[in-house]
Amino acid sequence: MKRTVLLIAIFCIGLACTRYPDPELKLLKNYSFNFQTGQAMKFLSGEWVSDSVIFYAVNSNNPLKDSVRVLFEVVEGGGNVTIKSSYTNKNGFAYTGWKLGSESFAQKLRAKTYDTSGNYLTSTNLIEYGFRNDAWDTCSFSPDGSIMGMVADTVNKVSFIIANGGLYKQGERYYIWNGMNDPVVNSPRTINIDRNGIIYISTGTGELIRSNDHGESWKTCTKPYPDRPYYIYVSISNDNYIWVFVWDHNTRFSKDGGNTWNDAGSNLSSYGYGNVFRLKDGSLLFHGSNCCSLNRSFDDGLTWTKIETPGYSIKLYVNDKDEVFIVTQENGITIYKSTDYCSTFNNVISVSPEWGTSDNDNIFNKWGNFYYILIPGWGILKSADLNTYDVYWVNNNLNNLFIDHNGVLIAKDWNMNTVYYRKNSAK
Amino acid sequence: MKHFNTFICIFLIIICHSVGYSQNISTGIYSGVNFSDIHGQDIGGKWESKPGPVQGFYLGYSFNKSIGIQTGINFSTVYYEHKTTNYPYLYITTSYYDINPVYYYQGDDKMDFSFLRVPLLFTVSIPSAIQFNMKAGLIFSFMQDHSLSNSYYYPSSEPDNTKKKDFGYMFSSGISYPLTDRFKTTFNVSYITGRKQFLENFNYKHGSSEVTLGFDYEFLKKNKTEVNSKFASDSSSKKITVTFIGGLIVSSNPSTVDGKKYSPVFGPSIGFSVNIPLKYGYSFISGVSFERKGYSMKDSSSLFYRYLKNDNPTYYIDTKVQVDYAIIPFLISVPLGKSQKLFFNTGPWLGLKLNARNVGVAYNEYRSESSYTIRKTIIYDDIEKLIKDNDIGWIFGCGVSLPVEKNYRVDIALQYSTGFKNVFNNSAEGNQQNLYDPDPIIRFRTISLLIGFRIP
Repeated sequence: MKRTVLLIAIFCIGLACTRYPDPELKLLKNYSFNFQTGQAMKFLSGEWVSDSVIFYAVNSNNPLKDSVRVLFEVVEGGGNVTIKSSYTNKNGFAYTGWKLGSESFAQKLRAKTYDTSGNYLTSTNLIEYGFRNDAWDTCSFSPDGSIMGMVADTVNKVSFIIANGGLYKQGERYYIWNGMNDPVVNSPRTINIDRNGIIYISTGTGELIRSNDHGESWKTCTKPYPDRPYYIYVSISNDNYIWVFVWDHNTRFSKDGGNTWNDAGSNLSSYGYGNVFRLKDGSLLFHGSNCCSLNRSFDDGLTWTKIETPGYSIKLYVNDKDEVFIVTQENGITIYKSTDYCSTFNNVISVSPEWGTSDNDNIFNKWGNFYYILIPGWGILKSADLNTYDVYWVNNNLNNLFIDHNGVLIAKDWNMNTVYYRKNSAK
Repeated sequence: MKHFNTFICIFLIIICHSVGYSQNISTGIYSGVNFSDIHGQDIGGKWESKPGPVQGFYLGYSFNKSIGIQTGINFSTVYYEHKTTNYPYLYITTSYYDINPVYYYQGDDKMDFSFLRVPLLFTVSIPSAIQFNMKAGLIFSFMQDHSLSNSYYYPSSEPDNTKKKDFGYMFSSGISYPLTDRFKTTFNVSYITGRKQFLENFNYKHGSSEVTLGFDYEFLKKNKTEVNSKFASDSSSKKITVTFIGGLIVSSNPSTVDGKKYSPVFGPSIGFSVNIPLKYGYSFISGVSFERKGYSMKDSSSLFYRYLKNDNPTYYIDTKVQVDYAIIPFLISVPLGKSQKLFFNTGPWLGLKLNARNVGVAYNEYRSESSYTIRKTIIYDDIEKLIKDNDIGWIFGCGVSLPVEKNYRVDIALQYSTGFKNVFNNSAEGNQQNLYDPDPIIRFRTISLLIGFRIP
């Protein structure tokens, strides 16, 4: 009897003195996945992504034995793959070929992975970009996402942009931009081109540099404001005169490619920086960035006479027929046209943008037989004659528009890091 | 101080009522091992029960053959060691809106303390061939030396202001075996818990269990015949019996909040009871038993110790919450039938929490584009802070008492016990009031199958 009681007691004490394991964390399965093929690469739609797409999967707990089944699937873009199902080899790699589609700009290939027992592990995505024809492709890449200015030389087939405080030349594809390292080109800020293909760049220190050989080499012009070490505004008129502007000096112009400079009269700088056009009668027409600042000069820029405009004019454009167009802030944005050297104006179109800006760089852009008119805060109009307009693209976020030497439109978003590419098919 | 005054009053009453009985003075020495059992821990992690030395001397005075007092000096060194968890302990933030757990890692800790301790105890002895005794009272600790291995307790530029003095409670029980008329060898098991926080900014309180062997020598002892005659003349004392009890309990938490998520667990129950006969075959039963209560969970949850599901990494858990109690019952036993073999007993009980822990495993599946992991977490978390210090409840029991050889009896009993209190300490999780995560309720109910060995 006593033994029975003793056994029961020992059993109970044993239960009470349970020895518990120490706290611990164990990784029972520990898989890593990634695409060895680079993410976010840029291709043309319909192209193959590299020679092949390489996927890597490994179980760190058993790297040599644990093969992984990989199912490749195109989930965005409409492309296709050569191998849809595969197993990782002893090194953990699985391969497929991926041809991009054209259904979307961002295209996604998904690798769904399963262990050897068929249990689903995870899905890993590879995203690449396929630039399409006749569609707007939204890019937030560098440097073009923060483009500040562009020139396109259609004769010599080159385009340059200023972005991120550097000069970039378009590469073999329109979305590739290669940095230009030239000691003369230091802190570029604006870029312009004249009718002879001479490219001018202004710098953050107020220098003006030029290239006579389509960006191959650069040399410094005479400094427009020798005593001023800060940036300047530059525009080039259709007679190849160079016009420079700063707030605290006279507007100046150079007739000889930046070698010598002349002061514009009549306190022209009080109207802000702007555009100048040479009319066929030899006079000059100017509109500054300030409201209602249309002026005309008959003595080659020495004196200016103000011209009254309808609405609140902010921008000037003169086409090859000497038809004058002014952009006003009447009823949103209204474009007026004058065929009698600004004696009378006719309303040709009005639109209502979401917002306005004083930075109206490239409203009128011509490529081929068409004008592409960028209205900041509204979108893009298309016109053959600037008399009738078609809505080309309504996008309230647009702030600027550039066209490269191939005719690729590059619209800039107001957020300063996004651009929209559109390459139109040759028709 | 309030406890101390109560202690002194009771002490004087006992002395006044004991002067007519046999008295003796005993002394003894003992040595043994203490097993550290830190208390008041902020939730999380496992404190290893480390062995340490204990030696002591005691001086006892008995007012009669059953009741006395004891004091002495005890030297002990207690070693505390926290095991690195390597996994985050989860607890809930106090934010109203945010019910996502905060993850908390606790590193290695080592501390050791050397004490000189002075206990002041009541003793209750059950005279028999092998004398059984119980002791309870206060213990005063004076720290002699210490070391803290982990610098985060105190920035190096600040002085170490560990508390030098402490007082606490001591519970002890044991047996003594006579070697000669005056010499006995003793075996005691003691439980000591300090009451003061010994580290600033931490809730830690000292605690340990001691197992000791020793020798006892009795002075002023009357001869055996005298004692036996006294013993024989006390008719009521003759019928006082001690029952050593052991068995299994099934504990559950039929909480009103997510009650179905919790399952019962088995635990031990071991202790003793003193049966004091009353009139008409009734008897009063009290004593002390160690009981492990708790519940288990097998479900998906963001917490290891209770059910909580949200959008954060969710574990599949298979865990047990175990709360160790010292249960002190106060039962009236009623005989059923004339044979007095069957009995029914009922009465309240008081439970004093000794430890609380959360043990088991948890699995977490994490999936991202670049990884897939399954983690197994072996859990041992101290959750003392989450469980209130005491509980009260009521017991209903019935059983059969079978005579065996000589005057011994074996009791087989089935007991149902329910706790009245919600023992979950909501304040430990913060004062969140969230409809999606209502305050949990933990109210233990147990069914026990007990076997007792009654010694006359």
